[in-house]
Amino acid sequence: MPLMYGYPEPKFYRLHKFALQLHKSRELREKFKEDPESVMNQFNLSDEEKELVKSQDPIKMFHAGISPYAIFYIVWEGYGLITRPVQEQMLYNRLKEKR
Amino acid sequence: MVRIVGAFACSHAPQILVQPKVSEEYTAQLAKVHEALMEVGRRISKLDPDALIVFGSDHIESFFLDNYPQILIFTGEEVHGEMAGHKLVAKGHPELAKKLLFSLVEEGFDICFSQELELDHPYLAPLTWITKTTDEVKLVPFHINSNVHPRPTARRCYELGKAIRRVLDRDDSNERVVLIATGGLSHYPGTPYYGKVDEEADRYVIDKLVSGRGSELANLDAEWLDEHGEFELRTWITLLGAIGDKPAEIITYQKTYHIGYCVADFNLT
Repeated sequence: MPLMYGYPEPKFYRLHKFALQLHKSRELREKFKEDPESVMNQFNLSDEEKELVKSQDPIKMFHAGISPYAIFYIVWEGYGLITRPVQEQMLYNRLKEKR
Repeated sequence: MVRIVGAFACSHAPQILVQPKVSEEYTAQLAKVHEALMEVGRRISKLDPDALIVFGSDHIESFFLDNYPQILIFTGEEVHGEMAGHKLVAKGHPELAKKLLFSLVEEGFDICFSQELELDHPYLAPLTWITKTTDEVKLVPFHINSNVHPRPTARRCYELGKAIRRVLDRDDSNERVVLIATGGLSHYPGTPYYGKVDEEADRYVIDKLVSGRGSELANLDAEWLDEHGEFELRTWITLLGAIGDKPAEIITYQKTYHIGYCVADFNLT
């Protein structure tokens, strides 16, 4: 198994920066909900980064090499997975179902 | 010398403070964690320390990728932070922290320092509960990178702990300090494994601690630590380096849906 909490590649620097600000600012989360595109532009996300964010897919982000904490800030906090029932949040259940 | 009069280790998941309403079972488990942390606070009060040195690990929260420290000691005058409506303000211990900083560099550990630090959940979650039952005490936060690779090896953390002990031993003050390590046990936040808790790995770790063989944890490698969700043991292993092989009492262990909560007290006598 590769490391879970690996080295964040610089090509995703802006995405990580965006994720942290999303985590820290309720105002930015509100703005992101209303107009995700403009917030992503505000952080100069590359096309690749935008696609990852828009996928809302934590597993895809993980395999692309995004820090799991940034994934938490984007998917759980930004897209609101944190407000969903815990069974949905437990990604490991999906992994087990697949097997 | 500066005497280490107490040593504790505990989980720091944000849920300890946020207290999400998940199930009656989870609420009851969290209550046991809260009670254990307040018990730590009561025990610390009896030890009457001058300062708490708290080993925590940032989560790309206090620090960002523009400037990410492997090991960092807080040397400022006041620490503060706020989380889930709970505010924590405490005095630092700039004299003790400065001595540790200078002497650890002499010892070959080129650690970073910060004089202003916004604390986040690795400190706030447990300390908010611990300080409910302690008198006012100075805090020295001590960051050990556990969440962004490359991270210090477990062996290096253990050696750091040993160096901290040497520095405290040869100090000429008569101060008393308590060490606290925060993090763990098994959990996988933000990953496809979120919701998995490796209880077997937790039991392995707990067995080493209870039987006074904590030094063996310094042999674990980065792959094992990540695979079993035990990557934050780096803070615990640093603490173990400072106290040596002393048996732990497990005040509580709660396997929940997302983490194995553990609160431990090491018998230093």
